[in-house]
Amino acid sequence: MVKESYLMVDALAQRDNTFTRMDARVKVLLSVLALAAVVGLPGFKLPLFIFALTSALILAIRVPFKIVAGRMLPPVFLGIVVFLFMALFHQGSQVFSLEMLGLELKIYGEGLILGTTVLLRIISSVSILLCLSLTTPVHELGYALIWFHIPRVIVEILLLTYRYLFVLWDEGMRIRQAQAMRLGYPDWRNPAGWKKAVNSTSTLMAMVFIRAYDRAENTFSAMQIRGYNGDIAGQRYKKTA
Amino acid sequence: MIIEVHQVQYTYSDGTKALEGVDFEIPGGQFTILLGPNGSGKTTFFKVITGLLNPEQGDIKIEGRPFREFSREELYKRIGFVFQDPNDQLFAPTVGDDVAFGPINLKLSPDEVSNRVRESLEMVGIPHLINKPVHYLSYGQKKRAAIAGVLAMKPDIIILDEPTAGLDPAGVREIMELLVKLNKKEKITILMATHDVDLVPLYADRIFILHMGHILLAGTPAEVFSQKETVRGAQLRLPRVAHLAEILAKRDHMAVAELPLTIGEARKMILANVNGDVNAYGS
Repeated sequence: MVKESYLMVDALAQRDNTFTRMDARVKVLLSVLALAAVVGLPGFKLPLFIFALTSALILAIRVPFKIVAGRMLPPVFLGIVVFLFMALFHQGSQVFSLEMLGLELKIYGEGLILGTTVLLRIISSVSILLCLSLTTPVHELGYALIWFHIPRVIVEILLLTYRYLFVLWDEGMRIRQAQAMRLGYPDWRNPAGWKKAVNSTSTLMAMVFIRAYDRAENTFSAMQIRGYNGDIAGQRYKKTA
Repeated sequence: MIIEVHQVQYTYSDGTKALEGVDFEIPGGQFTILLGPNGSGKTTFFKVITGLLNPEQGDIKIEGRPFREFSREELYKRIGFVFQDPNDQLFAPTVGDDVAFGPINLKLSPDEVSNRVRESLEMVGIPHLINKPVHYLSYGQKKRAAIAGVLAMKPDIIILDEPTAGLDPAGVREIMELLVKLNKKEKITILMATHDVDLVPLYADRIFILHMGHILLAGTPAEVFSQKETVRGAQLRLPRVAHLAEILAKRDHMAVAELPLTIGEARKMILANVNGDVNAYGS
């Protein structure tokens, strides 16, 4: 299910500022180059520099901290886990060790460096993508991808997903509220309530799936009426406004 | 006749007989309303006459030519269909992209596509929303955008499935006035479905009542609503003012020569009764 912060990111990308006004193709190109550099080049300096740059941009466009934290924390958490594994299990020269509960934990220098590199790469890659998504509405991103000759079917699926994500989110929320008002989610703390809530959630997911299917049928009919021939082809529309 | 339908039948795969021998004719240029309760077959009928469903039996002709002789492109240049839920129809990320979808499929030049997008959005009164993502529109704005998407195909007839469903009274009035404007000014034939009987006398030139897959009644609003018992038998009712006039005649012995269907007609009837000139309002 979509989180509220995803919808918020879309709303932020619709705002008018210097970065949202910039051509989406330039932003996509810069993001891809930055990602390639962060992932492909050795050392800490570049990822740190890019992270600082993207953080400054995020600050400049005044994105609420909650949104940034919500989007950054899950991959950062993953990066920390990877960092710990590397530091503890990557063989090499031991930097220091500590004893905990009768277990000796050894930290290796090479592992520490590799783990830090991976962690910094994850953080700066995520910040690049966050910047792109906070400054580029999805439909503009789609048209930029078509311009870069990304297979049209992929872009069309992206654009249709983007459009109907909001519709299905609304439908899912309506079903959830209807369930909640009839005690569909009584109490997660006791087993009976937990079982009931799981039951309600699975019903909700099944209903959203069925409605998505129905809607897809109707949307296909509506597209046929307007001469759909297998090609959404939005890029040929010459915008005048 | 722009559309002629003769003995059309349609049965769903679960055995539900949605249409059982429907006969229907729409003259060009008119504002026609298909009135029917929920489940009467209105949406199925619209899907059949727009070629989205194939009837098991019956003939459909568009401007005298059998339906099957039309290519899809030819057909959809003539007939536009606006779905009840605009979210079914608006699939593109922005309003402008959605409206451009039909003209692009007609393989028009980019300039012509842009002109049609602009014109259609101006006709429905939302040119300022051209670059707006669809999910930020209100329900009424989505309805207008859906109509604009069909208008951009420049059809001769627009079929609308319950276009006023889910709108507030001001939204209903705005959509109906828009449809009247398209009918009178742009000369587009309008066929819409509704079960809101109070709307019918205000806007329709001609109405059909569909009930359980059959056309029960057809004619002008005055002709159809004069068949009171048949209208009620179809799970519908008379317009409120007509019902009031019926009660005034029955319980208060007011002279009612002809059932008023609109507030204006009811006012004339009451004034005539007050002034003692009963014959004046019926003429």
